[in-house]
Amino acid sequence: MARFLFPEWTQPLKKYVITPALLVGPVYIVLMAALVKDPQTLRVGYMPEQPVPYSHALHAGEMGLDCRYCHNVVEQSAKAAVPPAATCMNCHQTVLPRSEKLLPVRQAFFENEPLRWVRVTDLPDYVFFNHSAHVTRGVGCETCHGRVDRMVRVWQAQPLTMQWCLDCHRNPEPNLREPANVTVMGYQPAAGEGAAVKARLKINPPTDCSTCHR
Amino acid sequence: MSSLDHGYWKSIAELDRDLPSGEAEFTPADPEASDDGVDPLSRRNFAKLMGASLALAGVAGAGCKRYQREEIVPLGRRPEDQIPGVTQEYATSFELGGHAHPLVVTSYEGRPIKVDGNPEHPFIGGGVVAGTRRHAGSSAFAQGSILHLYDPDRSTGVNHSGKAASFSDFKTWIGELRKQASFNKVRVLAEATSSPTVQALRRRLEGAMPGLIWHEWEPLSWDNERAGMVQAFGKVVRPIAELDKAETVVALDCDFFVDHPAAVRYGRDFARARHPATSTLGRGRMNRLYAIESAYSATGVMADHRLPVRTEHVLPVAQMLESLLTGGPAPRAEVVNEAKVKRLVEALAREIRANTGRVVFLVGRRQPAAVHALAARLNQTYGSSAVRHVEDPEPTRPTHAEAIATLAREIKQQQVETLFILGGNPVYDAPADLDLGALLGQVATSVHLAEYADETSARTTWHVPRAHYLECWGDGRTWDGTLTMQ
Ligand code: HEC
Ligand code: HEC
Ligand code: HEC
Ligand code: HEC
Ligand code: HEC
Repeated sequence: MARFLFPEWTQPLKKYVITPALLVGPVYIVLMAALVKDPQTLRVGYMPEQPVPYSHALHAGEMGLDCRYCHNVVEQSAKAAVPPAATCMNCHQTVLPRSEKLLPVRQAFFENEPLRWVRVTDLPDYVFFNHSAHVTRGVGCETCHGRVDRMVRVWQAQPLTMQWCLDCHRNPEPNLREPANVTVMGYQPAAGEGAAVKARLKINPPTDCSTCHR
Repeated sequence: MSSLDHGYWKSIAELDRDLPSGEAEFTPADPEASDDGVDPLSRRNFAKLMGASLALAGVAGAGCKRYQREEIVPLGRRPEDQIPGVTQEYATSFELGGHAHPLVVTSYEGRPIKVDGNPEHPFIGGGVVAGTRRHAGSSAFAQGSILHLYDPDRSTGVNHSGKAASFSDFKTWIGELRKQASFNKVRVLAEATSSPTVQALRRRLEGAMPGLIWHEWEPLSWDNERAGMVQAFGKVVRPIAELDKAETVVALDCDFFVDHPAAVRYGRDFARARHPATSTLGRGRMNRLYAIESAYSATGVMADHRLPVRTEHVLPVAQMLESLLTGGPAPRAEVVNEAKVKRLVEALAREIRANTGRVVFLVGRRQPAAVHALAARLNQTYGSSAVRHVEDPEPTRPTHAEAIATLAREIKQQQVETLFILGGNPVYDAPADLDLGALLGQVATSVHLAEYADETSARTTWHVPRAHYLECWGDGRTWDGTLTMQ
């Protein structure tokens, strides 16, 4: 029954601080909400510096290596995983074996001092994501990661919000292709390909919360 | 105002009005009384506003970057069969009391996360329904063992005289030791192990350091059973019960579902003879379990008939049973004349006679040799098709109690200058009258290899951290002698 009592001198605050705050508050909230939605905040385009100036544009684009040469577990695991240094050394033992830029790779390979790549595509830890569930069901890398084959340094291509995930889970058809072609960049699905894949593989992405929050 | 129209309960307002007049006088002065109830400055609203502002401040502060920077750190060379993000299973074993317990461990990117029994192990594998091979049990100790691996209290470094030292310091000291001409004053006190590799290393050590003596001490010892077998058969053998073939099981102070090296196997076999449809005894038949024990154990809980008696009364009760079965003299102890004891023992004797050949007697490791010998005799007569015996791998070793007493005597006689304690915590669990803790003060240099810096480490010169069984290779043997990898 007792009320929270403030000292007498705070009475003017009621008039001059709280009331204006109540008026400005909604504007502030709207502004913050807009900022949260802003691509800048969502980090689309986020492109951190990497310890080795490795270029997808060169290796995956120009040289045309398949994504799965390096991200070879992507079809079996929740993770796509960055390849071990041993994969790079398949070539770089003979190609540019003394390059300064490749020193950290050699250290990882010969001295077991692991490379520390900076994560680009980052979901919060409370979200469960699974690569194999998408890649084997005809969602291409490009749909979520953009034209990696044109990126010298990888940057984040999609907003990665819950809405973004759900937009596709509710209507996957436009984004589906033959699973054999998931790693092809700049792919143009044939007319009706999405619908055909969806029907054949009985694709029905779940939208209940426990799919992604477990 | 205390007369209530509705009779049974008071609202808070009524309670307030019932207050003695002196306190009630405050009410008009309380601003809330004249309030319309929407004052934005009530305590709750104030807290809400503050909370919201703080939350928004948080958004603003982190607004420029959503999440903290994370790193992806792949292995330099990925093992061939490892798939990041996918769990792997491998077979291993865990040793407790010198006996291996076969396990399958699930590991995630090299980190063990789950322990289970090994369903394909010849000793413990296979399901309860005979013929299935998909399941195997594990013990509470095995389940607990994985927590050690991640225990932040595990010791992580070498200690010398209570101060942190490095492993190379320790190696330097070992190097000095190896240069000695004679190793007559070097002793090893090891915990029991069934590992053939450790036994081979022991022989190599004894060859390389002539004069060195290796003692074995184990608190979870089955030495009483060994002594009982010698009394009964003239040699050390190990009894193994086939509980799936037993109609009557008699546990004499023996918690064979938990405190037995073959507990997992016994649990499985016992259940096999209890499944109403697929019982190994025949459809619709079940075994019957009698527990004669001093403390309520898991076995007692499962028993059809449980007789609580003091530990030292297990022997006379068993003797009574033997005398009823074979006609020998009855024991003179009071306890056998108690009505409840008499009733149970007489009924049990009748059942044993009826089921001759398919009765198993199991005796706990705390019971004296006499009880083990008596049970061995009864098993010979009444359990011929449900109990077998296997050779003991070390029939000639001294008992654990003798071994540690010998070591204590050697220390007192100044015959020990260097002592290696390999595993265990003997200062804590050796017989108290030896006062091993004080004796360690008379040993010039002592080394304790252990997972934790414990009571023993506190008394030794060196403490060396020990690898967990999930961190190293090894081997062992189960109770029946099956070789098992770790
Ligand atoms: C020669 C090996 C190699 C090939 C081929 C390759 N990658 Fe990569 N990928 C890497 C390495 C190394 C990294 C980590 C460094 C980085 O982020 O740039 C990486 C990082 C990435 C990332 C960013 C991961 C993050 O931090 O969020 C994406 C997305 C990616 N690769 C997609 C692809 C796609 C799509 C292809 C095929 C078009 C491909 N990669 C082909 C080696 C390769
Ligand atoms: C299929 C063979 C192949 C593989 C696998 C490969 N590279 Fe390369 N890499 C090349 C070739 C070819 C060049 C270009 C050489 C040139 O410019 O002359 C190159 C160039 C580079 C350069 C530029 C070096 C410089 O000094 O300019 C870097 C950095 C690099 N690779 C990093 C990596 C990393 C990191 C990996 C492993 C994730 C990797 N490469 C795997 C073939 C390969
Ligand atoms: C449905 C969207 C989607 C598709 C399709 C997809 N990815 Fe990803 N990828 C993600 C998300 C989301 C993450 C971040 C995961 C996290 O933070 O846990 C990610 C992370 C990665 C990483 C960083 C390492 C890791 O395992 O977290 C690599 C490398 C990568 N993806 C490569 C690929 C490649 C190669 C393909 C195509 C074969 C592909 N991705 C297809 C959404 C996708
Ligand atoms: C471009 C389309 C697309 C996007 C974007 C997408 N998904 Fe999916 N997702 C799918 C499809 C298609 C499936 C497969 C459904 C099936 O097999 O029936 C799937 C399946 C899954 C599954 C496995 C469900 C299961 O139990 O089999 C998870 C988890 C999942 N998605 C999480 C996410 C998360 C988290 C995101 C956002 C970071 C995301 N997805 C973004 C298309 C998408
Ligand atoms: C297809 C995957 C997916 C499904 C299904 C999904 N979520 Fe999410 N959820 C996400 C992702 C991705 C994020 C992270 C968004 C971000 O980082 O901004 C998220 C974030 C959230 C957050 C935290 C929001 C924040 O800003 O902190 C909540 C709360 C949440 N989800 C609740 C739910 C509930 C409730 C459901 C079921 C109705 C649900 N989610 C279903 C993918 C999913």
